[in-house]
Amino acid sequence: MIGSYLLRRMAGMALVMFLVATIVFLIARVIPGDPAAVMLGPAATAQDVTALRTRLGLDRPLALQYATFLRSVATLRLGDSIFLGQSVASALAERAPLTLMLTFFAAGLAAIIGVPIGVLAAVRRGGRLDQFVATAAMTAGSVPSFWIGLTLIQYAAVRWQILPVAGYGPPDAGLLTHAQHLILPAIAVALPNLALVLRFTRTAMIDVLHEDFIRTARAKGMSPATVTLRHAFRNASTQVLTALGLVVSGLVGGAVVTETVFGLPGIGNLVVSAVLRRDYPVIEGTLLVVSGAYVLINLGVDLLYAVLDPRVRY
Amino acid sequence: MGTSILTRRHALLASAAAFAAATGTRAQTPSRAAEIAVIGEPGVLDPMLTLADLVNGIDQHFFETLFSTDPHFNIAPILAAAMPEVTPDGKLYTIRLRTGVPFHDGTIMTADDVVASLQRWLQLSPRAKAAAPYVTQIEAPDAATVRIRLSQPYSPLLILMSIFNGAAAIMPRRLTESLQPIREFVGTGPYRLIEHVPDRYVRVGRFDKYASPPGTPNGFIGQREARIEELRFVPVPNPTTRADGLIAGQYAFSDSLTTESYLRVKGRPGVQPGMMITPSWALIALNTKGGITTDQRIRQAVLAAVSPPDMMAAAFGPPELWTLTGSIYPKGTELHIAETPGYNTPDPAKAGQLLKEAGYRGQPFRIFTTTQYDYMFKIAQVASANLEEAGFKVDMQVLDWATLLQRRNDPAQWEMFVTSGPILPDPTLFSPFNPNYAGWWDTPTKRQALEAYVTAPNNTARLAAWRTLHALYYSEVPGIMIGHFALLYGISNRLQGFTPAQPPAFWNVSLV
Repeated sequence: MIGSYLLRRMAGMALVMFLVATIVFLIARVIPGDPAAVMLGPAATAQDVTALRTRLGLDRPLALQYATFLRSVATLRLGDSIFLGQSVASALAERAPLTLMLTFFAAGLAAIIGVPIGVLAAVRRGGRLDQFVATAAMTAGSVPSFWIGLTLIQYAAVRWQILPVAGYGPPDAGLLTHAQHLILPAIAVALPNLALVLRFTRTAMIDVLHEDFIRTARAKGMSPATVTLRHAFRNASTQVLTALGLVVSGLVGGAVVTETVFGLPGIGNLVVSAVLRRDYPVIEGTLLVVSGAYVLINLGVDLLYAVLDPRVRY
Repeated sequence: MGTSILTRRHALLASAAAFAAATGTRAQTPSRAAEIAVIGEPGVLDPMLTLADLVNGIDQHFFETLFSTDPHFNIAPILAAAMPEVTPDGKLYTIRLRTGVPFHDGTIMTADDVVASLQRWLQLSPRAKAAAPYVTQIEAPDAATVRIRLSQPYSPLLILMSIFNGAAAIMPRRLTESLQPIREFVGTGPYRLIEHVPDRYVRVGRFDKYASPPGTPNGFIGQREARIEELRFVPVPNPTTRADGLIAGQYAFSDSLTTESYLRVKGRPGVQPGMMITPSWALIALNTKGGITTDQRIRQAVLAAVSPPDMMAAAFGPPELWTLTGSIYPKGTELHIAETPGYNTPDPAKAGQLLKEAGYRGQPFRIFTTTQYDYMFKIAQVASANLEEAGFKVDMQVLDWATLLQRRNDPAQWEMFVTSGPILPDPTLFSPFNPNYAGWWDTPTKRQALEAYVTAPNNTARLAAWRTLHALYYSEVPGIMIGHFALLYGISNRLQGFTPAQPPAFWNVSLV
């Protein structure tokens, strides 16, 4: 049963990815701007730009470029960057570990802190703790992550000098040094997402706590902890999972602004630079991979629903 | 209660400090290596191809040219053994090369490599394009001599070969065979390229077999010594982060600070802000080929309408960071010209009168600008206000940089854009004088003046032709000089011996 469901989903995914590839290719080529002009700098003339376009093969017919692009997608090489002197696949492979570390660091923080506090706030709804948590979550959710990033740099890195300002550590750095470089950006990214997870958890828990079966469980004399955790939270967990899925898939695309503020060589930074420079193969390859990850995460979340909620059947 | 909070905060700080000490956060860069924060990922490092200082600033550590300049544009030999011998008719340059100069791959530079490099440069470099039609032959009569024959004198040739901007970099012949961007970076410089990891760093290390040119060091000329074992050029796009990283001791040098980040560095212990010796141009480009600005009276109306001091103050802040001048070249250079008729004489009534004479009927005056370069946007905003006051109907189009660069090449789409550029040693490198540059200034009088300049047989004739060309810039108004602004940087006190010449070079610089 689940086999045929998976098969259907995979076929759908293949179609989605083909459409994404085509749309991404078209969008990249339709937006104005020229990689050759950016590469040559502001003093270059139209003739210089045309000459470089020819050398880079950017003047070839669009259909031919599309065919080359589809071939490079099929071979998983994803073409060569115009600027970076490497294939898009290797550019992505170099940057993916950082973005994944940042994603799991931030999503982990959001889950470990956001979920329990969300549960607690729901249980003590209307109390002081709930009011405080609601205000704090609203604030954290509204403050832009770049501001949080700059403030963290100002205190933790410039004034107290306990963590590095930016970058990903020197070339010979080990995992520990990399982790240090990720602490401030991870906090900057985690805070707004933590607020999201917390509010989702709180709302889901409040809904479930009003259900009849919770009243029944309480009437049966179950301890408040058992009622909350085994009965209420288990039922609310699918919504919490949705929130976490949203957080993770949002971050896989790169914590764009945070990576720029902290000078982190992650996927977000890669895609922003690529768009600004019109590095078409990188724009196309990155968006394709990110969309693929998004689709896969969605599939994973859907499959996990069945694990968490026995009522869900595929 | 207060005490308890204080104690808790101290405890938090202490534990964080203990964590940092235990994991060695502050010991990120060994003392043998200096981190240089640059504005972004340089991308393709082919030195001939690009005019971007971001790339040139890195490339000049591992590639060298035959000649170079001091911060005041005086030329001296680098890979050449002496200044070239030029025949009296100005058509034959004989360049003797230094011998025994090793490339980073261990081979020794010969005249054959130099000929091949110069030929590739003539085909590829946007700077060399203007020179190429004059060059009839480049040959190597022996292993240490190169001869360049010209069809007629071309005075900017030596300057073009000296500047590191679309550079005539010397590389082994085998790298010159393709006109595609090179992927292997073998030069003769005091540093060699170790590794380029895009978006993370470009690492260059001391080249132990480096053969230095002789002479007292002064900017880019004279003896060169790699005193720091390794330099790491790290892309840090955010200027605030570049300043903060410098203050915190992570970077030894932060390039291209904005006015705000410059002021942030000022007065902080252990670091200093600085200005490069040579400033940059801030310019308005006007379209002489399309739109309403094809009418010279409309362009003169723009000159009469705008207020350069307001633009410079809005864009660059405190007056010590910019100079109000209509001369294309700064004071102290032989190319400085004090007469700039019409510069900084804002007169909306006069502008309105000129518009009336030109029969202006309220057609949109299209200004291209971008927020990616804050100063461009601010100058365009002030210009827009000035022009509206004089009676123009302004249509300000805010574009992203890549779009602006593309659209400005279509003469039908715009009247004005704001740009800037480093002041380069020869006026032919001033973009508006290039008839192919967006703006397309190419009147017969200008063409004649430019021809007289490039074919001038001696310096007196060259300066006289320059005077004519400068005067034409003010009478025909293909653009408007707004002023000169300082290029800002921040430097750690640990970095000693730095000469503030653009683009920043780190040979002869020590890390203490």
